[in-house]
Amino acid sequence: MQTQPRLYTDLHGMRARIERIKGNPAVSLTIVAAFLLVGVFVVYPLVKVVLKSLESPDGLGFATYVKIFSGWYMRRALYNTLLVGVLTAVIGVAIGFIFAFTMAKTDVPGKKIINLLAILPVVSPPFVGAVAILLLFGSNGLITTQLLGLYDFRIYGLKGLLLAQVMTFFPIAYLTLRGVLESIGSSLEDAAFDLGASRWEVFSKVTLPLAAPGIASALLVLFIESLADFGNPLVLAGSQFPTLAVQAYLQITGMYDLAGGAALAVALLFPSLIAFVLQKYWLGKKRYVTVTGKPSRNRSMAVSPAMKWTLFGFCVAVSALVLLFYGVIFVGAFSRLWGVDHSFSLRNFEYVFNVGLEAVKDTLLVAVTSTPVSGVLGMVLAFLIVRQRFVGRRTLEFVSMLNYALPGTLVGIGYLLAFHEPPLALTGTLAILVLNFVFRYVPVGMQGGIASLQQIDPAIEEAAIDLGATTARTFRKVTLPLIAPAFFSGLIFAFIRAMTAISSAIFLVSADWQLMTVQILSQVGSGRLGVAAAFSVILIGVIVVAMFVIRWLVSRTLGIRVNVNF
Amino acid sequence: MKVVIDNVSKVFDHPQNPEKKVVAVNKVSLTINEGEMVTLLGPSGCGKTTTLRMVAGFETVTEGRILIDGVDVTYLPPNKRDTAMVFQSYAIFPHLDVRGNVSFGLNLKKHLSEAERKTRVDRVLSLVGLTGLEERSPDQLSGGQQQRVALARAIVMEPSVLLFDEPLSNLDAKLRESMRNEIRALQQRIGITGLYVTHDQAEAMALSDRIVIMRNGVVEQVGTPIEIYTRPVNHFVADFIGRANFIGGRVAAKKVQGGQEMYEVYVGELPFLVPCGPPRFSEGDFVDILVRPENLNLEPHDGAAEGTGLMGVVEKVTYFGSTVEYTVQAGGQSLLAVVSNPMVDELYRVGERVRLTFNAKAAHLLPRE
Repeated sequence: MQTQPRLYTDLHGMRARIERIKGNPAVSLTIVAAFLLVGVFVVYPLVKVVLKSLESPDGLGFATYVKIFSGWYMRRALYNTLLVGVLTAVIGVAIGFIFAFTMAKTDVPGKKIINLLAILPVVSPPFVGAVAILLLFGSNGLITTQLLGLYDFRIYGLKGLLLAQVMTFFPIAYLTLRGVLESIGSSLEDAAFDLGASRWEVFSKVTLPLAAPGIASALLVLFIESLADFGNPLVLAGSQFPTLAVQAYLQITGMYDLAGGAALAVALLFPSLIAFVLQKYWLGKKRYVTVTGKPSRNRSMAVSPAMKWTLFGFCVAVSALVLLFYGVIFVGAFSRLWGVDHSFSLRNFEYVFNVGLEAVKDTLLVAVTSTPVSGVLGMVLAFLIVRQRFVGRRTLEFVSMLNYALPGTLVGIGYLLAFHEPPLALTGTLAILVLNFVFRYVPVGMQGGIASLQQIDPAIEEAAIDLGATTARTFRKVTLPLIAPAFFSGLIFAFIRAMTAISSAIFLVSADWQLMTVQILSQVGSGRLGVAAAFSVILIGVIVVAMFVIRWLVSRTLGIRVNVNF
Repeated sequence: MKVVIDNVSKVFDHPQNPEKKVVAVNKVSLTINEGEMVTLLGPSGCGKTTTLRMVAGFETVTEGRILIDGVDVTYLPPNKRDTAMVFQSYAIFPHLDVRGNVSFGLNLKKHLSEAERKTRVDRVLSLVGLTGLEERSPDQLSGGQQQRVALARAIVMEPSVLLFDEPLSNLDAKLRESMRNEIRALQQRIGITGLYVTHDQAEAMALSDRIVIMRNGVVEQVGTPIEIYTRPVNHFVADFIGRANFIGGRVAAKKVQGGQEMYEVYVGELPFLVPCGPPRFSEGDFVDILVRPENLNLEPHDGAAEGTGLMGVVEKVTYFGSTVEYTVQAGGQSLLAVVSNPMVDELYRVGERVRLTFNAKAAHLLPRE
């Protein structure tokens, strides 16, 4: 008697599911396509790399790992990578926190400018810092030779790399922590004051504990970014200070040892993966929900005037350094010969347009092709994950986000191994570059899309369906306009990342298809700093123009005005 | 005198236009006595919250002084004043459990021993009915429980004055009622001085020893709930507390009836005798008679008995169970009458002609506005 109703509801449930699939063929097809795409272009390359690293004479084994890490040099590389990762994370978060606190909790002047300078590194190639450091502190460096007369100062190694990474990545910490601090309702701090706490006690007993999960999160993110960084170590680390990403690259391109390179890349993967999982799943649960209520108008209470101006001074100093970095790149681009003759000259740009025009065109083509695909795919995936129910939904979400944690080096090698033979022989083509970028940056749009969708009342979409719209139509006409801001942000970030990518792209360029970032690095390697600077200036210029163009395009097609808020 | 607010003003810069200024509080003076619960009541934007926050120290004073226990605290920061506030959003620390929250302020006072602190916290927790929940974290508490934690946290400090910033507005109606009774009982039992802000008049009536009605940064009237309700000084106050009918008339003469001074007021041709009180009027003054809806009685229109009440026609009848409300068109006005415990077989119908009378003792004269 008991089993009969159970069986009926099981069949009934199955029937309902089948009806739903039949009634919405577009959705079901999309789900299958999503799994296929993610499987082939995210999971498969990863698997290939791991398998390659496990290649040994008698099936799968750790022979390659033993070979690679038995030498002290590679062990040094592992140690160095982790050391720099931890140092960058700690220092970067410290600086980012000071910036975030100053912007969120005090009323210092010039906030707009400081904010702009603090996020400038976000829109430029990650190794622009390295180029600037060379221009300032290198063998012909402006500060070392011209200003201080130090001709033997070597910026290479830990100090140079650390400086470059901290300046490149602290804005990420700043943006995250600013959001965290602003979300701590000021009424909590008011309450602590009201109960008699001194300013320091409010900070140490209320603000800091509540910001702790955000701080831990930022530390992990910076650690992951530092580990995956390729451009900065390539330029500044030098042979005395090996790091994993660079060694993996050199092992493959210099020593033609694919297995060894794969092993190094996998060694890079594990700390990143652990940090990623910790950040997403363990910390994600620990966020404090604070009811904000009416914000306090009086901001001058959080810190004493002396402290306020100290913090302000610090932020101004660091911002000035950022300005110096970009200024020197700009000047270097227009100088005749850096370190020797600083008169105004367009020589470097001439060089770029003669020799480097191909790279500029190719980079634009790749970026312009991959960005919209990446953006739309991200939105579609976000929609499927948030609004649809199907088997393996959580897996799809995890795997799509995984690309965020994978170091570019690993992905680059993976694509190399996965797509150099039929049925998908794509090495040396435009396609491999585009696909690499599309799937690397899908998580950006997806995350934004998921966050946006979760804020939209599902009843809005239900209303559209109730009035007769199909899921596809609802998505296009109702959902998409509402998540347009997230879509727009996703597009911008995907474009910026595509223009500035280096660590995976460097494995995929060929005689036919060049990239500006690779060009910049090779110019630096040849000592032509002026040309590298000129390339960088063009690159940054293109990105800034593109941001306005994308905003205009999105507003036109979706009919709404979108504002960028960093 | 526990708290003295002496001619205090607060001026803000206009958010969009830096040339213009917003006067949120305009020369407000108020004295709160020891053990009294005074409520600032008024519509949004009347300046009540700003005034409270100035007493707490979260807003600086543009003009005037604030004294607590005789000490001028105008320029003291909030952590140096002997006040404790219960916030509208509760502002419970999410990273501390109930005990941690309640003892937060006590832990900052170094001169208390560990044992003393524990005793005080335990005592306060039992006072608000949270014994047994000490280890809970805030996200495991209901709205009403969070409210009580906020209350306990403030009370345990034994401050000179307790400040309440619309603490009940996030609770549902039933809970609001029971919590306001609890707050009142607690305040009276401990004998602590309190300054309360709300826009809910029922709350103000139930909680307060005195009510301060504010509008546009200015105090309209200060008085006990009875004074505010029966002797409002102007139309705004009369209309803000409860509901009001204003019947226009003209003062004819002053008379004495039963040993009490009365004004004879003519509404059209009909004379009514209304007690004298402040304000004073002279012969010929135009006035409005404030008649509360529960004071307006309906009687059948006999056709014969003229001159004993206003004649009108029933426009609307709404039955609420415990009361029935009639809207009656009389003398060119719509008047509201509320009848308690109505006899359902004697309800008047729409379109019926009725005679309106009221008890003059419960009426009040206001100058015509």
